Amino acid sequence: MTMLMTIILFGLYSSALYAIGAVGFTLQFGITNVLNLAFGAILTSCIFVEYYATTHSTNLWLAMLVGGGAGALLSLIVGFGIVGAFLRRGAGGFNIAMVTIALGLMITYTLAAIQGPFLFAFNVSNTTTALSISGVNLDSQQLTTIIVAIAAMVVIHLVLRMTKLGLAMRATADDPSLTRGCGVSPARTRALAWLISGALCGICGVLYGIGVGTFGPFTGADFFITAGAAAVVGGIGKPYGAMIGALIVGMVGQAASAIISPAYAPISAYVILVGFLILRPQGIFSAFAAQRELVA
Amino acid sequence: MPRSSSLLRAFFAVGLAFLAAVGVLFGTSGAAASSSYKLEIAVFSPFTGPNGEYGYFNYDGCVPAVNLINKAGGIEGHQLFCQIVDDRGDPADAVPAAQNMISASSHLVGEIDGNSGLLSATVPILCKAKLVELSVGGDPAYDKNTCAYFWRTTPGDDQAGYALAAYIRYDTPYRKVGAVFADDVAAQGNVPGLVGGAKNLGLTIVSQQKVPLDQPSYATEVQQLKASHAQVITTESDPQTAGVFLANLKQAGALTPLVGTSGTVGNDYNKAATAALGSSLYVKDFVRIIQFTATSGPAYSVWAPALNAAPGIKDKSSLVTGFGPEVSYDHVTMEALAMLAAHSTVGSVYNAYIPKITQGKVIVHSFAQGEAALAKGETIDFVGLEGQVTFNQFHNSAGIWSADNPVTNATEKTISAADMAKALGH
Amino acid sequence: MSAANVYYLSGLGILFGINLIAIWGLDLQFGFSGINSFAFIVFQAVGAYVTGVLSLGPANTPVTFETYILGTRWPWPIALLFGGLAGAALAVPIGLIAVRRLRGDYQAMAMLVLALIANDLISAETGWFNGPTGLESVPQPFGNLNVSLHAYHWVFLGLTALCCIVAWWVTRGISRAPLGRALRAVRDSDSAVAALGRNPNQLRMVALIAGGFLGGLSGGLLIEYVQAWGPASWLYPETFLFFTALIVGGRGNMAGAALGTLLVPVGIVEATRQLPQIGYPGEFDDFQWIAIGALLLAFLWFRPHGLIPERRRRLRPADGDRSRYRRGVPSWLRRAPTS
Repeated sequence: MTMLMTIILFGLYSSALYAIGAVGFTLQFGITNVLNLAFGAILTSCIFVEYYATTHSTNLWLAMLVGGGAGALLSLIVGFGIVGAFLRRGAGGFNIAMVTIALGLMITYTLAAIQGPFLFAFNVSNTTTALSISGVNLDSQQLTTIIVAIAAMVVIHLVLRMTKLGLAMRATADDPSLTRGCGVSPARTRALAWLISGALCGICGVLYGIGVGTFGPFTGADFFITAGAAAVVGGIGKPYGAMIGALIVGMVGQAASAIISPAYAPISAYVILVGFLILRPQGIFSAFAAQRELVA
Repeated sequence: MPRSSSLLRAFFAVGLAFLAAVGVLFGTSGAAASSSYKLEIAVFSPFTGPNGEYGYFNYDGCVPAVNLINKAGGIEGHQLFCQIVDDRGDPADAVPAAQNMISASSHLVGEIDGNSGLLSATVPILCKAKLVELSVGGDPAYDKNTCAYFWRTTPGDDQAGYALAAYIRYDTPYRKVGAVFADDVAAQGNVPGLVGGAKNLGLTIVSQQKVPLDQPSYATEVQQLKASHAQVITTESDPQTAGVFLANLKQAGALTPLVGTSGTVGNDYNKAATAALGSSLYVKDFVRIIQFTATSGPAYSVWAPALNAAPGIKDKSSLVTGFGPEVSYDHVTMEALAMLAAHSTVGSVYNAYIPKITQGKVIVHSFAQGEAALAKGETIDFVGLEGQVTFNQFHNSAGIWSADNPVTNATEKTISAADMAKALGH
Repeated sequence: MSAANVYYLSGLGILFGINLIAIWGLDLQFGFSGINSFAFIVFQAVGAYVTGVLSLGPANTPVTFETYILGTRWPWPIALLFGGLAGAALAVPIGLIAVRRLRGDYQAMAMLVLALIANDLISAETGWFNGPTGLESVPQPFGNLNVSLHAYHWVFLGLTALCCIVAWWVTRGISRAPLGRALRAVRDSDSAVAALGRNPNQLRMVALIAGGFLGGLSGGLLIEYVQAWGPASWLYPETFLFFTALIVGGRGNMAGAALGTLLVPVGIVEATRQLPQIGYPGEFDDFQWIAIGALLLAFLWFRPHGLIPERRRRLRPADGDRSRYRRGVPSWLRRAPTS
């Protein structure tokens, strides 16, 4: 029973971390149709910014504010500014992906050049147990992560469905030229998409960084690939799909660790993801898996 | 414009530029013909990548040694310097780096390294180049080393597991052992020794887990440990994994005494563990089994001021008792003393003197003392920060295992040779 | 030039040859056929591993301390050939997963995940290829020739050149054949090819397999040169290096790929090894990747088609001018037109 509860609770925690990142990634991909492979680098940068700006505070609300802000700003520069410039120059889908790869490399290795091979650490030893079910303890930081993830999902859903902004975003994603013809500014929509996804990226980053405790220049990159894969499996542009993908990764990982062996935890999750890709390559929620028009 | 000529043009332009660059780079490197050249000691270790910290340990030990040697007059009138050569932690990069190291330096006289996991790829190259190499690399294959120029003062990683078992059996009251080792080269290398040693000494390994690196949560692994009722946990992993694992362990109320390996050495690991457990718990519950290096004594009283005087090195307070810097300091000093004893800086000549300077009559503890004794015509026995070195027929020296305080590196207990022998099943 | 410098240059030459074979393979997959093959490094890895286990001899001896599958001591040409074949064989499952129904960015993401899975899987399954430690002490071709280190480089350089000729022959053959035209057509328009009655997926698979063979061959050469190979040598970002070479040099044509190989994996990577220490030690390695990122951005902005862009192919009038064989002949060498 304890093991089952461990799998469920910590599976939820892992899934929450991946979910915030995956939703940010899929939202931006869904609205601008740009595969942003610099997402991991931006994630790592936000942890660094939070570490320095708040002198390694582990107050989660402050961290999310600072991290989210940094992520939004950086994402705006990268996405709206640089990628936008390439788009206006007429670059195609693959070239844009390479642009984001290049930016990601430059950001990551600039951090590495400044930082060196040494890690930084947040002091997380004074945590308090916030939730205890049949002997399994979740501390306040982990519980907060789960709550923030759920809240973010709900907010995104409400924004996309209920507000005019959300409507404009969905319309721009489906058919930019027609939307433009209806008087919706694509530049504004695009900027907002990058802002929101960047904020989610930053929030995910600080929660992951503080949760794990130590971080370095390469922390975000591998974490992001998993989150990105979860997003792809769920269907690009579908936040609920990203959530489901993240749940798969988190839960399957913990379950595999308990049932098979810890060494197989990440692989099992990936194998399930690839299985989904084989069976339903467009993703769980998407209708089609073709390249769509890039929003310029 | 016809296409073929633009292609030719492109080729010519780029080709010329490339050749010019190559010419400039190589032209300048071979220029020095004056007699005031410096002798190079190469520090061939990972400086980037996951083990990037260890390279700096080696370098930070080399610099004070070289400063002391230069202050005492250098070798044959030439000053020494430490050259960083990054192996980047993987064989495909280490091999070109080794080749470059040999070919690009005009006055390479010796090498020290920390190339764990890469020795099979790099040692053959260095051996063919007749480069004297003192290594900290732990590859078990080199327990039966056949390269004449390769010397090692620390045993292979396979021995470390036996030391863990010996410590638990003879220096703690615990008999039920949990083993949590990360899924990487260095950590897994400890497992066979631990398993074998446990069998020989009557310990039970109640939980043996190979954990993947850098996961956000190790809660299930911790639960399994708790369910197995392990009394003591042996572990090695990278710092990030350790941070999460130890935090999960504490959070689940499953914290037991912890025995770490030499792979847990370093500021990053200490930072991560302290962040997870808090410094008092960490120091109380964690002990590190590692090669003995002095934290006091005649050799140390020369080393510590030299390190403190060396410019450009950060975090000296943790380095001064650190295994990596201390061993590297010893290695450079040994190479220099061997060169003095042989009256030559040529590898093929002074290589034979590496064991000789540990077998002589007069015991010395520093380069200056050794130089003075050699000048008087004596044979020396250099006893540095590692204690007495005795090379066996495979150019390995067994060394002494000690259980250290993880933060101060002070030796809490040493593991006697008799206990080690029993763990090994002799 | 000193002997040491000659030694270094011959080593560069070998690396150039090995990377050239790999990048031609990637060109077949990506440049000609438009597959976003972000898992390319796995082809090289499988070739290296298979060549390794076929040359190493039985596993678990007290000398080698390694556990791996197979473990025969076949002669190196056979081991190399099987390395290439392993790469080709791996292309089948990868193709079935990522090429059959995925396009564009989906394909890219799926390929990246596959590369990550492969690396994690090989690391975890110690019994397959010795896990995280990888393979070591792989015997070299002509290794029992008692030659100096310097002389051996020339031997290996010759072997590499031979394999490059094979790769050149394969790539050029595909490029010039009707298959090459079909692949380019598939890259440019899926539906047009299908409308003409050919199966675009089948064509893509062929390109993937051919590229996989070359990738595997280059991996086999690499492990025989370095004599060691482990998961740390084939992390997924390595593929980006190959892509940079293609983007800088020019994709879709062999000369461009060659130029890109000279400039990127050999030029920048090796040249930055030579740089003196700037800042604190080890920083130049970081600068290398920053330089590659900057180079990539610069080229994508100013010259996205690369230094040697792919030639626009035009239909020549069918008037007896044997243009198919004259295409590569410079204009000043051609016979003057008779009318």
